[in-house]
Amino acid sequence: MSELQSMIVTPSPEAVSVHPQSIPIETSSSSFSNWGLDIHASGINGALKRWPKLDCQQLALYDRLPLEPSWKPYWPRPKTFRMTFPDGLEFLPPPKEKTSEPEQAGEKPVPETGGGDEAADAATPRKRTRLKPPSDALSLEDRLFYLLQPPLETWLAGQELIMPFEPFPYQYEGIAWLFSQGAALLADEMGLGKTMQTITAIRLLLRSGQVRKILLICPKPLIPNWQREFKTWAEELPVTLLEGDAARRKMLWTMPGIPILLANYELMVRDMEALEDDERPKFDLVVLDEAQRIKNRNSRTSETARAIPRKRTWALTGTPIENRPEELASLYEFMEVIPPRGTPDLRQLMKLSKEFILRRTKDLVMKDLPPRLDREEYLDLNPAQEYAYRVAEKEGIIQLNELGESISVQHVFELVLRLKQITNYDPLTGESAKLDRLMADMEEISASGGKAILFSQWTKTIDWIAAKMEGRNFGELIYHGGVPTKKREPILKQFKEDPNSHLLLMSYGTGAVGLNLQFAGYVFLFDRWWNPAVEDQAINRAHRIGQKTKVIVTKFISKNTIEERIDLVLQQKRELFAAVLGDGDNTNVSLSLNASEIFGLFDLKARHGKGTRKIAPPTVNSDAADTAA
Amino acid sequence: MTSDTVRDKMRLGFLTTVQTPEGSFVGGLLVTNHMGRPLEFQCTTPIKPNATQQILYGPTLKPFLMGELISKTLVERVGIAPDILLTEQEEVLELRPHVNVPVGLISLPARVKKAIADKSGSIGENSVTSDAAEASSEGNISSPAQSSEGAPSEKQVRLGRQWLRFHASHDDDRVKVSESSKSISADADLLEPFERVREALMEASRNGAGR
Repeated sequence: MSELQSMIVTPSPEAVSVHPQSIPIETSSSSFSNWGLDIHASGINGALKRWPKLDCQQLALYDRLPLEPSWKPYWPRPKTFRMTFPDGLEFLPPPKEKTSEPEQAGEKPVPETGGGDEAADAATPRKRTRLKPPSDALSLEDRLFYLLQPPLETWLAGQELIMPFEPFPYQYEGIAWLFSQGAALLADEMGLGKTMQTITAIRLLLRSGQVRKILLICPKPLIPNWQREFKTWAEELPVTLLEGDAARRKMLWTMPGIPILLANYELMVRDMEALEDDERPKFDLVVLDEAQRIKNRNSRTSETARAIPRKRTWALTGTPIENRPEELASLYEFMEVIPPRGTPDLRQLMKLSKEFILRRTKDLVMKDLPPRLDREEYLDLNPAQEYAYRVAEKEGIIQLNELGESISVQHVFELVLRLKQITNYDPLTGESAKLDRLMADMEEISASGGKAILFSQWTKTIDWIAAKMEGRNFGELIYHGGVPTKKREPILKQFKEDPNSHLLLMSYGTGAVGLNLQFAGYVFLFDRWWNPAVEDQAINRAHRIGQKTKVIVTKFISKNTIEERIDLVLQQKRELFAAVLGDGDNTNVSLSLNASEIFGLFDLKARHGKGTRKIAPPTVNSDAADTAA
Repeated sequence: MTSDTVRDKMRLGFLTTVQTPEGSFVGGLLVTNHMGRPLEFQCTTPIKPNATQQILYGPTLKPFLMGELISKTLVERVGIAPDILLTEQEEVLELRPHVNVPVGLISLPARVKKAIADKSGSIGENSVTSDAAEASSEGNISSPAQSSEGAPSEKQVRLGRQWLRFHASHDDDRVKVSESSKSISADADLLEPFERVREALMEASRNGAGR
């Protein structure tokens, strides 16, 4: 109740009471003329006829002026939402003598200001690659984690994470994509830097505290390659190789504090099977390199890989589908984006691909990559070769026909192999039209200081070529399944660094996948593999990022031989697939010959099976794929 | 790199506010290490001044809301204390008398300042984060000579690629920041993190975190 109201209603004890009659009120009414009250004609207010009881109070004057209405500035305290970021792992910096040592911040050149601004302005604008929250990140905290990370260009160009080379924009995109994906299939075409993108994404995940324990599985021949690439792109990250006897390997599997464990497929299968369920370590991230290894979901490798406890799963392959779309389902099952034994149809596969596959082709992203010039050298066999070939072919066909109904693909395949070997060289006389041509080309290449890689299906052919080249000063080196693993890395190093080493003789099985030989400008395919996709993999050892000059690819094909016929069939298949899938992407399908096509090479008809069985060696990812004979 | 070494480096607090299409103000504070890697983020609920407040505060409303009310709350509640608070908004500079941390205002070229004020000072349907980023990019090489403040001033300090000025009542901030600015790379773009804060505020606004 206000002070004013109380003054009226409540009489003050000190107030002096007076009779109302003593108050001089004027009125216009006759009855109340003495009071001076104005009475309305309606007659209401009968109470006015009564004498009001009035009290008077004497009040003290205010000592300050009251202000109404009063207003006080009140602001509620804002509520806040707060999130912190996990601590990332810190690693010892690389040794100071390395060239990649970061410059001290204070010593960095300061961009010109003032008059140089316009020039700097022109140089400054650049694309920024920001991390995007994954589609399954629903909580605000999860989404803000990604949104508040610095752009990759800033992150990687900073003083904290040194990059030896500036990644290409599409590689930044790939790194950002991998970083955000819990399940990912990076299927970039060979040579676009899947390894580098994976290593950098791993590095960022470790440094931001998102992962702490990573398992990376790759084919055995690629172990040195991964070790080398880690040293190049993330020198500070400790990579532990799974090796040694069973006891040591068990210790490595279970020992805490190993951020990155590098294992090959064979040891992964063997050791995981040996470990009890409760002994199996849990990983924050499992990466499968050359993931087409698990395309058969019933294989031991697939089943074992799927059983590894993990939070994130990445698969890397340049050929996500080698033969059938179902192979993709096996990869998806490993990535846990479809239920076990799930069989998505083509439409579902395409939908899943949009979310979980990132695939770029050279045509799309590497417009500035030097061209690859393919030349098919059709060579006449030397006389002795010609004779040996015709005899072998004639006898072979006769033998096949004599087999009658018992003839199998394997019989035909054996004849094909025998004839292909003769097109390489005559085993009796050692004559070889291909070798003659190779020698001539190599004279020119070595004279100009160039480097060449030669691929053959046979280790024996490779050894034979090396023997023939002795004394020619080509500095030839051998790299195939027969070379012990420990000796392989020094061979690659010598080939790269020794100016007198001009030729690296490799087998498809050992050398076709994963190696970086972009300093070589020439590639020879001494004999042809069954699948052009594999040949492309081999060629892409040289024709890849970092290649400064055009790559000249020479494919030797002996005229009027089985090679010419195989090449024709493969070429037709390549054109067919290109028409179906588009020119930009013809490497993710198998172009291997099937049984019918093999029989067709000798005008024979397949007598067994449905004619679609693949008869080429099953894989080129291991040393086992090298043909020793 | 040991954690001790890392702590020797400066922690940066990027403080900004935005106005929603409904007229509310929200603020965000991103604390990063000296490389720009995030350590902590905070944002406020929207604060909407009523008509009386708008009339009575007049031109002091924004400095009060942005500097004293929102920014002060954020700084008081931060868990990982920054060594310096950076802002691109003049109004937020008014925070300085209320906190014990140096507050640096990034001097922007007038055209960049206008672009940010026009375009990125609000969040909503027509988000212009990319425009603001472009504007920020332009501002990367801001210099006193380019700024609206005119000729180079001794009162400004260079941090990363930007120039900072400080509250008139705390001139010693300049000395403090100069001493510890060595840990910040001369290449560091201190405008870029504001883009992240604005984007995060937009995301928080979409998620209703501020309601």
